[in-house]
Amino acid sequence: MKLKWLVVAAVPVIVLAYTRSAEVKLTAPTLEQTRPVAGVVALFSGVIALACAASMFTGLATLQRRRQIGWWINLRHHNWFPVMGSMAAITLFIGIHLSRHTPEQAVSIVEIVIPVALAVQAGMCFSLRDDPPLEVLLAAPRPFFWIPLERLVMAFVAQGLVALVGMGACLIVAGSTDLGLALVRWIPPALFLSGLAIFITVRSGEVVLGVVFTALTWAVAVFIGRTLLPAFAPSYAPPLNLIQPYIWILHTYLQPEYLTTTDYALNRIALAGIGCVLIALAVHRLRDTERLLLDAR
Amino acid sequence: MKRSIDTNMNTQLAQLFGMIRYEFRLQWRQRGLKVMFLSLLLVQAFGALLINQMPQITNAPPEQSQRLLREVIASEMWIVPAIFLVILIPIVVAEAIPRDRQLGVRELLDSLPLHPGIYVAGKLLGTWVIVGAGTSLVLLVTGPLFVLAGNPIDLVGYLSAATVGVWVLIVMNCGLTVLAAAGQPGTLRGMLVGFVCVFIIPLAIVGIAGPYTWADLLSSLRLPMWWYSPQDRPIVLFGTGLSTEAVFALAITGGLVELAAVWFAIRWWMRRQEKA
Repeated sequence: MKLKWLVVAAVPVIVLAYTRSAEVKLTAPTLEQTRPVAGVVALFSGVIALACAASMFTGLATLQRRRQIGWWINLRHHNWFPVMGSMAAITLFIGIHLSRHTPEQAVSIVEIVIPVALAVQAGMCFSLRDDPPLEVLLAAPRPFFWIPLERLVMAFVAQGLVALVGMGACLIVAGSTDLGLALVRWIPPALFLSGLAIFITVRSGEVVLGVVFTALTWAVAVFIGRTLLPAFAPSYAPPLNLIQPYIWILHTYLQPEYLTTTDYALNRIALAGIGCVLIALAVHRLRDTERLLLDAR
Repeated sequence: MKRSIDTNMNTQLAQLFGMIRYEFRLQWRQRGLKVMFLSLLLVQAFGALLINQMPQITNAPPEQSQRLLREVIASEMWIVPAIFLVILIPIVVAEAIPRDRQLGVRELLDSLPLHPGIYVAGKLLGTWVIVGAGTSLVLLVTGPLFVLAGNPIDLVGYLSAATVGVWVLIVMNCGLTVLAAAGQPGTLRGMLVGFVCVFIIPLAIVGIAGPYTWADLLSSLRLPMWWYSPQDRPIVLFGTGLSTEAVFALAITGGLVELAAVWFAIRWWMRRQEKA
């Protein structure tokens, strides 16, 4: 365990020393050079995500047949505050754009609001400290990891309905008819951010860390998103200029006009894929009962 | 009579210091704050090592590059801790009071001769002390690191930001979330209230009123305080001719008024709960 942290700490120091050495003159890769990496990431994460999704739906169907899913209980205990918050935020933003006479910008409202609201909800859908009868739940014949998954599905359904209604309103306000693009704008970032939130929450055992770091990721992408594009790499200090050109692959707020259509598609596939992989990793960790009980202490 | 008042005072002080001490220890045992301090340390350390390699500085003429470097360092050294203290850490500490209720300790405390005002004050002061101690420690370590990396830093400005600036933000924002979440039944709801206070409401204010307006004086984003760094240029705010000092003074006053309002609201609510 200690060796692992030593390696983690040593890697940045070695990279820094290497890039600073006088003989090494590394230049930032261009967008074309990063494209194969994006393709590989999108392909692998997409395939794994499809396998995970298929496994989840098969499992859900089995549980449904055995009447082991408490949809109504989940619905009754669902946290509606983030749902109401996202509804209020979408309405507010539409109002702002209408009052400022910028209705064409309304197309990006749903992609700003829904991913972060869903991520907050996903981060909060499972907490070791807030589910007190953990030992009892773990002793039940039904696998424990279905509890956060059910809650996650409920959150997706609730926020998805808000997103669909909001999307319709935004398209009308903006005068756009591109429904496919409107869907692609918010679903992959929502999957990625909720995957990140639930993964950090489960890994750290602290809901607050999952929520805070996901909100930070969202805020960075929304507010300084343009500076994360490969064209801005030369303005970063080495070795960040070598890493920065690859960030677009997982840029949650990438706009279709920033890069080519192929790049946009690769980004969306990679985001959705990595999001599903993170959810799967979090669920995999929840299968280890002993570790779960130790984390809860 | 006087002796009785003195004894009562001593008891209350002892209770308050006890609360502060135990809140400090309780918060220190949580993983959340430690991760925050470690993240701040790492970001600041990387900033110290990388800042003088920025192409804008290395490509500038020598006479300009030193001035530019000094300016960039001044803002970087302060803005990163400011982001942590304005948004991230206040959300982490928001669960200080709801945690007691969730663990069932609150009912026990209510049965003891501990005044609710002292309880809340102890929680608040304990949170301020732990966050202040942690942040100061991080800045104490990273300050010399900036110097060792060969960066020209304004020591007086750095010390003033690391002491006055840090404490102002801790008092205002950590205090705000701890108090605003005090009435919540559990840690999740407490965290959600903290998140709304320092993330959602300020974003909504910026969205409606735009940045650098009068609304910033009461917004928990504390935008004027982000530019606490000792740069030569004055703060251009609100489109008026206000001086930098006046903007700071107004922002701090606004924050303290907000904190006092939340304090009285929560005390009123607690009294109502006691009667019920």
